[in-house]
Amino acid sequence: MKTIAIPEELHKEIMKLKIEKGSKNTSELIKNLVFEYKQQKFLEASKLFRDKLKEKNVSLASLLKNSKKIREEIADEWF
Amino acid sequence: MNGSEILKAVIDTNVIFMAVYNPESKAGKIIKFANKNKILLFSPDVVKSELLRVLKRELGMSDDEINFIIDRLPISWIDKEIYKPALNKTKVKHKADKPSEALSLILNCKVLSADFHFKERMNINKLIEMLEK
Repeated sequence: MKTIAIPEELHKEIMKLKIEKGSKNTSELIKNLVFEYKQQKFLEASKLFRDKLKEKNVSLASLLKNSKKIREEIADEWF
Repeated sequence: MNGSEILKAVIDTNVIFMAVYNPESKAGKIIKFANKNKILLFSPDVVKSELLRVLKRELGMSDDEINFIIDRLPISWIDKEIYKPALNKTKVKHKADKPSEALSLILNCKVLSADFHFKERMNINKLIEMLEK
């Protein structure tokens, strides 16, 4: 276990959020916040990927098909 | 699985693309569980190279855009030097699939792939069921 020092005001905010989210303790609250942050970042990446597919008029199926070819190309280069 | 154990898997390119395409899909759920630290995902560096090349060549993405996507994947990329010793122990016939299987042998886990080349594939439905418990 580690202890972190935070300003009084931030502590109040965290306690408020803990109640709002129904978290058992601060550790669980922070764990969930970290998860939400990571998941949000992943959703941003997903949006960019789908936007690019649309922009280039490429389907996921054709991308996966070409990915297989590229995989073989890389294997020939690497191994 | 007891409380102290964490599942691990080698994730293949096709599952990564399916997850990024649809975060609500089964593949997307695996990423979600990885973001919750319920499963550790690994992939050989060669898979990362494949992703980079596909995104660049097929979608014309810039290096910044590619990094934007790669950096948001909860995957540990494993260097060739780590899985190289197991390459000759792999059963998969396809040369391009050997790194993923070799890495799975090193890590003592299964490969999560939509590709039928892998005989020791992890069943995604069973995996989700385990992770939801």
